[in-house]
Amino acid sequence: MAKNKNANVRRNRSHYVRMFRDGLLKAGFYFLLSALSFVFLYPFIKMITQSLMTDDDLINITVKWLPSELTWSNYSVAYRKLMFSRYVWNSVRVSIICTLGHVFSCALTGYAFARYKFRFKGLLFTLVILTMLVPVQTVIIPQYMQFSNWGWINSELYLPLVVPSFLGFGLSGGFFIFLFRQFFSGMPYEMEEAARVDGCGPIRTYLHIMLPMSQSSLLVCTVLSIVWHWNDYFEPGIYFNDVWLKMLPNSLPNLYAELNKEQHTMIQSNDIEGVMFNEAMLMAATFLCIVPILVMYLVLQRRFMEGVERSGLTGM
Amino acid sequence: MKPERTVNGVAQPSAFARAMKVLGKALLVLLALAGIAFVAYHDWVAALAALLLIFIFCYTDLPRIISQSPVGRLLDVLGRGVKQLLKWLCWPLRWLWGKVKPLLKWLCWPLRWLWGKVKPLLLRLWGAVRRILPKRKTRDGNKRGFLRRFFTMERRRSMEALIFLTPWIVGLCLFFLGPITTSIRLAFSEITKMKGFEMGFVGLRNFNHIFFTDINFVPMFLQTVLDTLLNTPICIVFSLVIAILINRPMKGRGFFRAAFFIPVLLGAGYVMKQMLGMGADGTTITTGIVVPELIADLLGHSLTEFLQGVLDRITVVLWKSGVQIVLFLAGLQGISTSLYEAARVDGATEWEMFWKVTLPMISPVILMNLVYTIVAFFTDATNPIIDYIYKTSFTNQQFGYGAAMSWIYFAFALLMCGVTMGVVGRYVFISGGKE
Repeated sequence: MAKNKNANVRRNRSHYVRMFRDGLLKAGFYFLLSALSFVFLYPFIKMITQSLMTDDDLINITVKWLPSELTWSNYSVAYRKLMFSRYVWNSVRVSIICTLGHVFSCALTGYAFARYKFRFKGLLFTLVILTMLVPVQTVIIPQYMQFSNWGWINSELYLPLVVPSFLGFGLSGGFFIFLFRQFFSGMPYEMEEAARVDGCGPIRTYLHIMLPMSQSSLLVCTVLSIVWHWNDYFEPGIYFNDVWLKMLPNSLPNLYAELNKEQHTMIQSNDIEGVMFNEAMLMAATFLCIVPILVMYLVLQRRFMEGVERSGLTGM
Repeated sequence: MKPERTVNGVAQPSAFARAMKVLGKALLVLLALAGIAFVAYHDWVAALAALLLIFIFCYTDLPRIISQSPVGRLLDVLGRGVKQLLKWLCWPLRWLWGKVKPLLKWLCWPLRWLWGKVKPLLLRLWGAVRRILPKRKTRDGNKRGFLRRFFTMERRRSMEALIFLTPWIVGLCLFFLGPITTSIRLAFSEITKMKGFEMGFVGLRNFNHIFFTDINFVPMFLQTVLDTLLNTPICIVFSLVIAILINRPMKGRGFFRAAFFIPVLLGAGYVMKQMLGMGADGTTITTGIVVPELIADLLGHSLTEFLQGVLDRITVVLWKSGVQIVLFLAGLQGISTSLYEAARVDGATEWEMFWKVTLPMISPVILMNLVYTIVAFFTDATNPIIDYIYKTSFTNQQFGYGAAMSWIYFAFALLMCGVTMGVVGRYVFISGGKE
């Protein structure tokens, strides 16, 4: 204590120099972080500002960030062109059902790998890792053939996406199995042993003891799975080419193609009649596509980050 | 009437109420965003002020201080009064529900009648099944039958594991082992009949074609490999630095964490592909960061171009490193603070602590992230080679050729992962040894 008091009293030059240096360091630190976060938010901000621009703003070089006039009509045009109301339902349905499947199957498998001993465990876990490493592109051709033999192409129930996810495969299923395995192996054994002594079967132990304790991992799995399913366009694009069954990210390329076409015709025939489709509208459409997951992320963001920290994902 | 959920005698809100709360929060966030956008249009200074206010409210103690002051208490009382008033105003609704509920209940009588018929039947059926099934308890605990002796404790435990593993094993056979073997077979053959996908064996012709006839594949492949080799270290270094920066205790930590993960929301899909492909004026969006002219004059043309290329690459790579940052953050949280305290007592500086404590402790995460990043860049949808494989197999319908290409691709990805694991794995520090 005494020493502390002394330090407080003696405020010589070096003290102020140090304070100044610390302050400078802190300011620099915040500046660096702000600059970095600007880089990260850049596509996002750009997208929003550009989506509100008029035709003239797009061409005008002086207009870089703030549009001279907020043209909300871009959004209504994008909404109609994208057929948002039709496709958003498909997207929501598929990503929610697939996420449910992932949470169900990956948690089960991860639990088995974390808690039980059985023959070929090492081999099977290597296979899990391998499913993470194999790119979708390697297996997509035979899978397409398989599904078309089964008549699952353009199925209205989205079977090619839903069934694999319920069996622990699908979009980065291996990653989620790995996540749950890491989480469950970091949990104490005592709870389960107590349950076993009290006469609890394996399934009941899992459902009533392990699952309620693993809320944070479940949240991480849910958020990542929804985001990845929502953004995925490769697999759905191959399995569903019916106009009614498309999903939001798959209807964006159409708009892009239309943009190119319209520019082409504009140059050729010079007719500027009606609503021209421009980049601002395209950006509006793109923004519309990510609004639902953005809202979800903003609501869940804090708990998601906590979940990642708690999941013990990195304890190899 | 369901009993209310209580914790320590305090009634808890229902699930519906909690859901409404979350929904309300989301709506508020949206409203605030819309408001800021509106204000920004008229007056950007006011918009900045609003953002600052929101920031202060979210990340400081101000709301708590306000709520504990007399003004806050008054507001609280007022709010409760308004709530009571609203509750009272809603009485017609409650009255209506009181009328409708018995009606609904009455309308369900056929269902109840049916259940009354079915339930005894089901019970009888279950009894019959129980009689057929073997009894659980043996008469003599010491005498065990063959089956009992066979199913030892360990065997029974592994049977239990089978319950949990069944879905995954079914999936493994259907969606992994099956397609993989077909894919290998396909790489050495050719589709002879589109209907039913009959295959004819052609030997190494596909591979021959890839390496000696096709002029697109090899350059594209090399480009992808080069990109991955360059991008992976950049990604790892930057995400480690960023993770360390935002792991410090500071104001606005939540905001920065959220910000660094936002590109992941855009990143995986077509949105990002489009953002990279085109901007407002036909250039890519990444050209937003330009090398300043002063430096450009000093460095000369070719060097500037190189620097610009690196800068462009950094932006793109940074956008794709959200997951890596999150993983590093989790890893940093896992390092015990006692290590840092010990180092500080021994007189270590921050710089030394990074090299002697943080880096060794985080090395397993670095390895994991390296593998993840290599795979992510290889399977990235913005990759030209993936487009090429997709086009040859699905647009031109050359399935065998596409499969051969994807196998070369995958083999190389696997090789890279293996090399990374082998090389970096030597330097990974594992505390406490392996299991």
